[in-house]
Amino acid sequence: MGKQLLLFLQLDGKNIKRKWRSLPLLFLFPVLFTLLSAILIAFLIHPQEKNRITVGLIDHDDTPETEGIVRLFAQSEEMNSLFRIKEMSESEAEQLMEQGEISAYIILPKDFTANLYEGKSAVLPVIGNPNKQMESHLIYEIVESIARHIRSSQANILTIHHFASELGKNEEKLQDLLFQQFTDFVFYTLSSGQVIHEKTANNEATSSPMNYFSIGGLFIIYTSWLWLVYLYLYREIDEPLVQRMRLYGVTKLSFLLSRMIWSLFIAISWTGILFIPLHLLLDFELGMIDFLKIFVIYFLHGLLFLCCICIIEIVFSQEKVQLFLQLITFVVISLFSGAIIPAIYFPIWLQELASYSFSYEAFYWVREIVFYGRKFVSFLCLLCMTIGGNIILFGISSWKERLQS
Amino acid sequence: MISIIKSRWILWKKHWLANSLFLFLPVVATIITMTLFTNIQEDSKVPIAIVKKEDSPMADSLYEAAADLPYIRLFNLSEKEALIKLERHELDSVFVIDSGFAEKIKSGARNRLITGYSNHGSFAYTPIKEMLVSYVQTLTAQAKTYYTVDQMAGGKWTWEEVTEKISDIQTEQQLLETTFHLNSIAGNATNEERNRNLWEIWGYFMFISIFFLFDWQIKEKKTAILSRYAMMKYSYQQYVFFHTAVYTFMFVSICLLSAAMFHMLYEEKITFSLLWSMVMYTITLSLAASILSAVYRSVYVYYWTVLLISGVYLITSGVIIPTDGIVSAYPVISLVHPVYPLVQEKYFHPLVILFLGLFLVTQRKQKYF
Repeated sequence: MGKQLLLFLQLDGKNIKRKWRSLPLLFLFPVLFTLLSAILIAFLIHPQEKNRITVGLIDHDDTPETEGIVRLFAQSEEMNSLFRIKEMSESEAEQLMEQGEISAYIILPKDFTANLYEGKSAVLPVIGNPNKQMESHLIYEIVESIARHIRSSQANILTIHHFASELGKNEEKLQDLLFQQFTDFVFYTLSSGQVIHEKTANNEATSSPMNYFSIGGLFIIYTSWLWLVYLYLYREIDEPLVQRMRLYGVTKLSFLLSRMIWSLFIAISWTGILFIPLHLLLDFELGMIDFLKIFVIYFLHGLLFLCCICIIEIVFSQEKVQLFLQLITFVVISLFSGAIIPAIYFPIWLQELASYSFSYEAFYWVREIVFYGRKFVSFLCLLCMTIGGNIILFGISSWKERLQS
Repeated sequence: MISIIKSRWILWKKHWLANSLFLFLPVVATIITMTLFTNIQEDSKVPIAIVKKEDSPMADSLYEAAADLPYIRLFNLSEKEALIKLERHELDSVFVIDSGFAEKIKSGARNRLITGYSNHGSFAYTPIKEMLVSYVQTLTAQAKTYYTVDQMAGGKWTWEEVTEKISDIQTEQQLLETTFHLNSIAGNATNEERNRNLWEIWGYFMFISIFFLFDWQIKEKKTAILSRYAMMKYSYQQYVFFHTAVYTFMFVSICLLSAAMFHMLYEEKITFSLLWSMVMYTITLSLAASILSAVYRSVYVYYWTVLLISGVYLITSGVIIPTDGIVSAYPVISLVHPVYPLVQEKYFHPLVILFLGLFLVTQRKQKYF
């Protein structure tokens, strides 16, 4: 077995040397892929100024109060960061919507203020653009939250109105009082931010999402390198040759093992190359011994991941089925690690499920070392999983071997 | 034509399991993914801690209000514990109800009643802060109302009477309502309630299915087989052409099956424009797969390329990361990426023309070996 493995290792090494030109492509692809995702996410988080969503506002009522409401919209924090509000007439709004210039418009109907004061049903319609549904719904959510503020002010104003009329104030004075109360409440709502005292709780280096996602991104890139290099080393061997090799006692496992070792070696060295600039850029305080620990964790994770990939290749004979299942495995293992979405946002049942996976365990310890400077790392769990995974791999392969011969 | 279908059938029977797995993948995998998606989305909750530094009915009611929010998993911890957990990213954000909360509200003060802690990774901090602020605001507004009434009437009514009146008005009177509907003039109203995610996911699996099943062109191009085409009544070009047609027809029937399934399961409205765009999507991809598989000689390298392309396809299709912003900024993307005409139900599809042209050109260039 050892001799065969050595032979295949040499063979694969030669193979890599021969095809070395495509290796940089393999190196670059996951990196570019991650960059592409990062660009898309940046677009999502920071919408460009020129595509700030425009919202139309149509004021049919035209009273001092509705102007207050317009101001309430214009100064709302959520509204401001994402949207631009423009006052316009209804026909203008219709036209702009057809041209796709505005995502929605809000109508302040006639007698809106009067209805508000009298406690009659006042309705604030939002009309969305069917071609921009997501934005329309978002705008509606915000209008609804502003309406909630207005509703609570309205109840208070109506209460004041009730008690004032019980005191027997005359109509004109009441109207004045209501208007004054209304503007009061508008300003009161606008300054609601004072209720909360905001603090940030962290030291910059450990909790910026940039750091988290670059360490997570590296972890995912490493995992995809493992898989890609493993696939890259695939060689088509036709059935007669396999038969002949079997006669010499060569098992399929020995050339799979050689592929595993090569992909581990290449992926880990590439990760090292990428880790050094990242380390300098993000400025973590890591000693030599920490690097060693991270290396061991990466190694064990890689070994386990390749075990899964190998098992799939042994069990299923059709290449496209193998690849598809490997793809699913890759996606599931990457998701479970918590490197893409932090595991705390998963539902509880998924969190529990994920915590049994080796990738979760591995990334947990990487995080502990890099972010919290943990000195003690328990490799026991990962080590047990690695041994278990290898036993399963050997078992399945010898079972399959016996089945074929 | 019949002989082609017959021979195909014989070939299919050999690997019927793998083949039918991929053929029905768009239907089966979409349903599985949708079920997982909705389950995860429903159960996903943001972990938040609220620290109660005082035990008053008002602080309790604020806590209860937060606990009622659907997207929050609420923890009641001590301040120290909560802050440690926040720093270790085990909580999204922490809110502290400071001592003297109820006292301050009743006396009409409203500044700095609660303290909110966030860190750079807090995704949900702002919306939850807004909600808590608006809740506290209703409490302080009640106090404000009480003081206004008190000023007018000079102590004629008590705190309880005023707040009771406010809640009466809130439940009895018709207060401001909002309504939402989509404009029916702009755009076609048919895709009003389309489940966009469903079609994006279906599009992805259709992509995998079509490209993986088009490997026949590579498998049947092996040198051992090539010499036999000379004995056939069809030329190699005709052989490839007919097979592409047969496969495309097969995928179109999968389209109809998927439409029927999704109509039953998710109550998707089946309209002509939907079916048309589904069929166009399928034809586009079939042509693309036929062109791509004509280039390769090794099946494995072909699968490999397909996987890489499918990765880029997936990221840019808007399933994982919503791409609305970038697409409206650069509408070119919706011309290049086949999933956008599918989702937007466009009748015309520039990619079809492109691939059809390419297909015909490569067909003529295919050498007769």
